[in-house]
Amino acid sequence: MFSLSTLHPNNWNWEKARHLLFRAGFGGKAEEIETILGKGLPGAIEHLLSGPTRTLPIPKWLAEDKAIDPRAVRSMGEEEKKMLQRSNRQHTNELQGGWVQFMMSTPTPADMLHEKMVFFWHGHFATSEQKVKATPFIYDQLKLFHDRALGNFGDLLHAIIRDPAMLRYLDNDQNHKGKPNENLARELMELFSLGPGNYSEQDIREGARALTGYSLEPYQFRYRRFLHDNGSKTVLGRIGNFSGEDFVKIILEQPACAEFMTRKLWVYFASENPPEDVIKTLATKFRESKYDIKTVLREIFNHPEFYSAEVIGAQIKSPIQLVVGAARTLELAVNNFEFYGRMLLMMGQVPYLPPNVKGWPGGRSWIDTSRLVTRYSFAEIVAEGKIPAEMDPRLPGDMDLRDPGMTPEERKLKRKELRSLPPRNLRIDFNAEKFAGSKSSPAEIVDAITRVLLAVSPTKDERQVLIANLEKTLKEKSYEEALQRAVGDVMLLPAYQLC
Amino acid sequence: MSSQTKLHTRREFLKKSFGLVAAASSVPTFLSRTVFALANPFAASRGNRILLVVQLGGGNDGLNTVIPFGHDIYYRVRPSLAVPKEKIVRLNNEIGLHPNLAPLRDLYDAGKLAIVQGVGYPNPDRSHFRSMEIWQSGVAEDFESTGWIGRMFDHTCNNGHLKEPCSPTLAVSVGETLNPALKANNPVGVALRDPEQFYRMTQVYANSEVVADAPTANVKTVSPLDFLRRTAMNAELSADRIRRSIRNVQSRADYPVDEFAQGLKLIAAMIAGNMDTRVYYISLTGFDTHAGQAGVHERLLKILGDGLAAFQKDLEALGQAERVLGLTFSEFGRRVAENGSRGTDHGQAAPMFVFGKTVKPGIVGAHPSLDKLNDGDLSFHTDFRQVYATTLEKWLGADAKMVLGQKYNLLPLVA
Repeated sequence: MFSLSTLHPNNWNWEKARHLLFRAGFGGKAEEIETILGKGLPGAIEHLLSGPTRTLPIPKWLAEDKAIDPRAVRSMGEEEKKMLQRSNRQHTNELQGGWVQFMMSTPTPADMLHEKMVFFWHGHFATSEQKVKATPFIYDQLKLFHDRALGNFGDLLHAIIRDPAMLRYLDNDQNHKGKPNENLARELMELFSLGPGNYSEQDIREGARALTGYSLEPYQFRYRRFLHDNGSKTVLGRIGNFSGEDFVKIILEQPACAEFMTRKLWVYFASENPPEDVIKTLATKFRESKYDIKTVLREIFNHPEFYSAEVIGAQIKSPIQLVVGAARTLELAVNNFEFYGRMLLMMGQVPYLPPNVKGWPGGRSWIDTSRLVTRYSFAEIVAEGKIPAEMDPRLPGDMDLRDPGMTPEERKLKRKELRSLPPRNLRIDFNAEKFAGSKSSPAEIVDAITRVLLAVSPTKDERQVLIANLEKTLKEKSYEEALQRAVGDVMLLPAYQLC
Repeated sequence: MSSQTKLHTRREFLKKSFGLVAAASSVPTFLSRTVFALANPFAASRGNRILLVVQLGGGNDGLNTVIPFGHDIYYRVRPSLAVPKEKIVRLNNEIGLHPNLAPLRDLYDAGKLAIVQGVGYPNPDRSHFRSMEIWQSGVAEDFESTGWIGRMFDHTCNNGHLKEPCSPTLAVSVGETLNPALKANNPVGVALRDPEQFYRMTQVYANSEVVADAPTANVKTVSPLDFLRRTAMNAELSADRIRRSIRNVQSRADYPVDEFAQGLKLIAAMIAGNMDTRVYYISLTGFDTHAGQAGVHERLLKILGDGLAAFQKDLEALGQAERVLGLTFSEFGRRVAENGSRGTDHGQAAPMFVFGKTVKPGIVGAHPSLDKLNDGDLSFHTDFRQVYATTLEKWLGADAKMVLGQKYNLLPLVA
């Protein structure tokens, strides 16, 4: 009855339900784990794949930003230019922070998986605001990922060669007949679809010719037919007068494409070392489905390997996973995107600020001493419920202490000024009852918290310390405060960095 | 943090409750033996030599740093920004330094400064972001997520010939986050701005029970959980070590009050405090002077010149100058001609300073031609990786080819 590629229903339990919820999404509350558990694995997967229930909000200033003519900017005076740069900076921060808030406030697990896939596509088709700069580019690309996150990969790949942000980021607006720019053609195969070793330098050169004329004006895709090279091209063994669309079609015909994408999704959701036989099987199904994204996700979440000891609790949380997960699990107030933005910056992952076109390398690269210490700071802030002013940019212009226009003296003054402000509260709608239920002994409370927050059980010593701390704080503080402190203590454990 | 005192008592509490660590001393002695005896592969052969890297962020205008005052073109294309001949701190009949870099001329006269001219790399990228990434990774031909300093340690410890982890404090970057140049596959290096704050933040999790086997395990093979425990312990121990090392060091120079100089002061103290650190990294930013350049650039050069001079003086007074070599770089220079806003836009080649008591002083290479420009920019003639390779091979005794992926011609920079 039961296939080898599906987890046996007898093995479905609380631990695995938690694993599915925290990996398919960012994290969740105890009652969400219960819901997932109660649905059984197939039901749970369909539930997770049923999103989104929300549409992406449109920033109020978007139309205004779209009306800015880049050519007019060039002839502006210095002051006017500066004002424009400042508002663009502010709007970009709002887009970045707004997205983080949007991830934090997912109403259902289905929205959460959808959002996690949107973020996957952002990391996959990595684009940096530092190069594309204008907000319409960023918003439109985000909208593309939001609309198609769980659709068809082929459609997405087709859309990306017409996506203005990508065209700008990879210089395809400078890819002209007779003067090709190979940047997009190269990454289209190396990073977006096939992976190294599955194409030649010749394929890049010829593919670039197929993409000539795929340009933009000013923030929209524009095909400039006079700049397109209409000559015959040889791409991946095929010969013809190919357009960009033909180039993408030929890529999608390669068996390497489904394997590359399946492997990347496995690494994102499951583990850094994908079992190759599993990848092959799943890739075949992905290809047979004509690149239906839900199909491959269903296969991943169904697979017994996804629930193996090598996978559960063995992934280092990305900063987004850590911060968004905490917000969702602990119901942190989400009205403070400057604070979360600053935390994410220090942890090394801000949306639309990937290190380069390869996206975030992930895994152990998330952790070094200073980034780990930042994660401690985050845990302490949650535990104490107070955001120190220094971590809490709250005036316009505070957001970016790295602002290159700031002199060291100005930066120092700004820091001093921030330090002198009283800390703001971090509101936590954290319902202790939900964690601890009706349990009353510190040991039972600690166990209830770690069961939700940790994928790996604490060591005996760690558990003892947690219990002893809670006993002490229960005497000193209110019940709610003591539990919040206990949650923060758990977040300080190395195991909390794992998912 | 608002909860400092609380944290401190919490830590004591954590430790007491484990009963493993005496609350009075923050690092148990058995740890000092294991972790601080960890690999310092550069100790024996190269006499505890230290490299300081100074990153100038934003694209420093090299042409107004080392100024070719002997060329009329300079004055012609920079009507508002050119420094008047009489103000220039001359090095010879052709080039000189910006007046605010006068302290560097003193170093030059004392034989402690080399100037490498016309530094860059092929197919220069004018994006700050990408170009800085190229300089930090030391790789221009591909996207590389580790840094050149980080890779030096990667190739030496762990999977390198030592087969054991490096000491966590081999690289220290002064600043809020670890500079990407220090990023390694096997994390070494700590970032800090304020030693006390760094110490407080690392002490919140006292992972005393997990350390016994963690430090000796190879990072490639340890589980993610042990990897995290090791990093946590490294943070804790590094912070403690830094704090203790600077405790009794008295600075011997008057540093300016700016953040850059204060960072250098901290570095000098760590050096004198006998940290095992081999590479220090510090940044000064704000060099992206597209408009109204003169005032901003002058101020930054003053911060740079005064800071480095104080640092050098301090090191000499502390008896540490023989073992420290410093270098400065920026992600690119700026265009030769000024723009319509009395500023300059992103360019290509620029000079680098290499300084220290053991430097081979002088001017390396000719000033790039002002009349044969590459797309309005100075052309580079020296690849920045020649400077890296030289410091790696000749100063730190590392294998430059392993780190940089290919062999680069070395420069006469180290005596």
